[in-house]
Amino acid sequence: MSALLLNEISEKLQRGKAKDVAALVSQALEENIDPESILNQGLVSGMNVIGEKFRNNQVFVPEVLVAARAMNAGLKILKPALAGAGVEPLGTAVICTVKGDMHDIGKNLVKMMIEGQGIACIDLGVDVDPQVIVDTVRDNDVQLVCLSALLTTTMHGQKDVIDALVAAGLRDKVRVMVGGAPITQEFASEIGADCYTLDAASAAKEAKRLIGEMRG
Amino acid sequence: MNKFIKIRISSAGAGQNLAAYLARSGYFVHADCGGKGKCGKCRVKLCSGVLFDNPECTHVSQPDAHGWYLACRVYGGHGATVLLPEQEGDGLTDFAGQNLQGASSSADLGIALDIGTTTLAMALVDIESGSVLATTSALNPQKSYGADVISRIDAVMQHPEALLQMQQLLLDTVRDMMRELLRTKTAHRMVVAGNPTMLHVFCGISPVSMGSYPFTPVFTDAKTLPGRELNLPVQSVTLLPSISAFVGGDVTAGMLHTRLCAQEQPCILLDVGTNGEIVLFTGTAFGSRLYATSAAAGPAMEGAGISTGMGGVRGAVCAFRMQNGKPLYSTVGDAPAKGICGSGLIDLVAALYQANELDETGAFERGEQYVYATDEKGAPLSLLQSDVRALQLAKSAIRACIDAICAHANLLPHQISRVFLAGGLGYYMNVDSAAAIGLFPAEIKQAVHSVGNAALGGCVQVLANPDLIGALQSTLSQCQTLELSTNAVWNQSFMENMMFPCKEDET
Repeated sequence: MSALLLNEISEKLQRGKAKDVAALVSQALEENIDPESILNQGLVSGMNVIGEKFRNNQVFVPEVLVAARAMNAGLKILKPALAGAGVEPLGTAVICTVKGDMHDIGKNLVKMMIEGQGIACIDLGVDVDPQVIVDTVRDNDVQLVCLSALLTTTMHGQKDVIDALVAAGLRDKVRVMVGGAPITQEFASEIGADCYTLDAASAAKEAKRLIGEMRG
Repeated sequence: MNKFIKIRISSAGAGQNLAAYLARSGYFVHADCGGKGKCGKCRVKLCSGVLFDNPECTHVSQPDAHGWYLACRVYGGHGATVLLPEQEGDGLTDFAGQNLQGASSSADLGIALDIGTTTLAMALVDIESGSVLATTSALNPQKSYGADVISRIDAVMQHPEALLQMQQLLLDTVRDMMRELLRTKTAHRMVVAGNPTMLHVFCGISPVSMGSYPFTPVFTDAKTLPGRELNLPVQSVTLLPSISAFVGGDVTAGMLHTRLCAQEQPCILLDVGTNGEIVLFTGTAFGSRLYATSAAAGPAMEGAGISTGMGGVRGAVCAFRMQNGKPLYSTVGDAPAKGICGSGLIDLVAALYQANELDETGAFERGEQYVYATDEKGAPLSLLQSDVRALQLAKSAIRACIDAICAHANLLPHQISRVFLAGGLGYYMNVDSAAAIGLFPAEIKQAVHSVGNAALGGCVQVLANPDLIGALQSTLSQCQTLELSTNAVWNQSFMENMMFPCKEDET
């Protein structure tokens, strides 16, 4: 019975039905299905399907965004129950678009996909000064820093952040992941980033892996 | 079959980045990505000798499975010979609505110049009558520094000396074009339009401040220089004013050409390319307010970033439709199909959507690609799912520009009486197809008029009537620019319009 319900949550999430997802999550809680299963087999599994389809070009940005919206609707209902059951996020990531760059959409997409993996995200927004990132890393229990840049003229800002983390003695505290249209694996290696991915779905997968590494 | 140019690497090129060396030596190297090893368009073959992975020339490079090297990733070996595929000119050669006339020898002559990121267009003008005597065009020789303005700015950020190199390449080409048009005659004045980055580089001013937020140009006002300062054989060179870092003298020239600010009813000037630029004038009957904005649309509209994409050159599929379920297409120059350019891509996607081959989300109904043509050798040319996605992003960025500027001016699309569509793509674009994929709101389809190279047209007018500049400058001082990255209407519209609109027969 519970498998059927969780599957339905996943299906509705994939189709972006926020209201239905919220209602089904409530129903699942009433039926005493454990919150962690609702999260993993319902919400996260639905988001994974969408992520995979997105990577294969089968669905596009709008579908991912409505699915993510549906997931957030479900998460809102689920969060108190998760906390009550002592389920912690896998870890925490800081995400932003680097200084001089105002591009928001790609960063938001990655954020939603990462949250879809059960990772908490601190979103610093766009045009973010390296110092703000350094301060956030220092003051929070953060394992991952995700940096977006969409212009060839601003991609060097990713290096500035990594350099600032090194200067602040915080580089070893976190893994750094970079992305954006002009970024290549070669560039990522050159500036000392730990990871580069081509798309948001792969970014989410790698985020989970990197946080796993940091948490040992 | 492609033709190749054989080039021997001199001692000066040893240990130099090959793409940079070739560009400095005056060859056209396609580098849409600006030499980052991403676009794969700077391919060369090695005839003899070796190429290296590093400037110290200690690691010999290996070619890919087909024998190609990426020029931007390798360093020259002294004496090596490489084969560079010959580039065809992708020129915006048509100058709509102008008849060429014979020049009277006593005429006071002027030169109109539009510096596009891809193409330069020039007209020889009889200043007295304002008539165009001859036109010519050439590829922008800065192409090897990147296909778009951001890559060109980045080139200067990385290597400050690139500014001077790009300026010299540009001025060399301009001088060649002038020689071709003037022969033994002399011109007095030159009027220049172009996007702000091109105008900065043209007069040797660094465009770096326009490369990142808040995107501040060094100058936007009109500027007049003595010709000798740029080593150009004219007395004076006048640069048309810009509005912002991305709305430049090409757009303000278009405003003159279309008499945008003399219209009684609300109207729009729209230039569609890698960047979408838009100016809205509310009309003399509605307060004469003026707004401008721009958004990056990505290079899909110019055929870049599309698997079989190409510029509007010979062999590019430039128009496409379905007739009784069968594809019909035409190519530039009626040559065998080689790929597809922006106008063809818009037609193709619109036709596939109408024929239910693509659903409203842009996904193929069956299969993962569509063969739209076959090339000379009978090999299929396919539209891939990723190509459709690239166009969806581009068209919704442009559409969102239109929606955002209309909302800002408190106008609904149906209240726009005219949309002047400028630029090369605008000239060839099928407006019905563009509306079918949602690039335009359906309500303004009837109002769209292509105006061809309006930038060059504006320069011609200024040559005949220099007073226009002062008037233009004062009009622009009233212009309000709209910042889109933080604009809620733009963001909302950009998301919503990635999908295709409802089909006409279903509404």
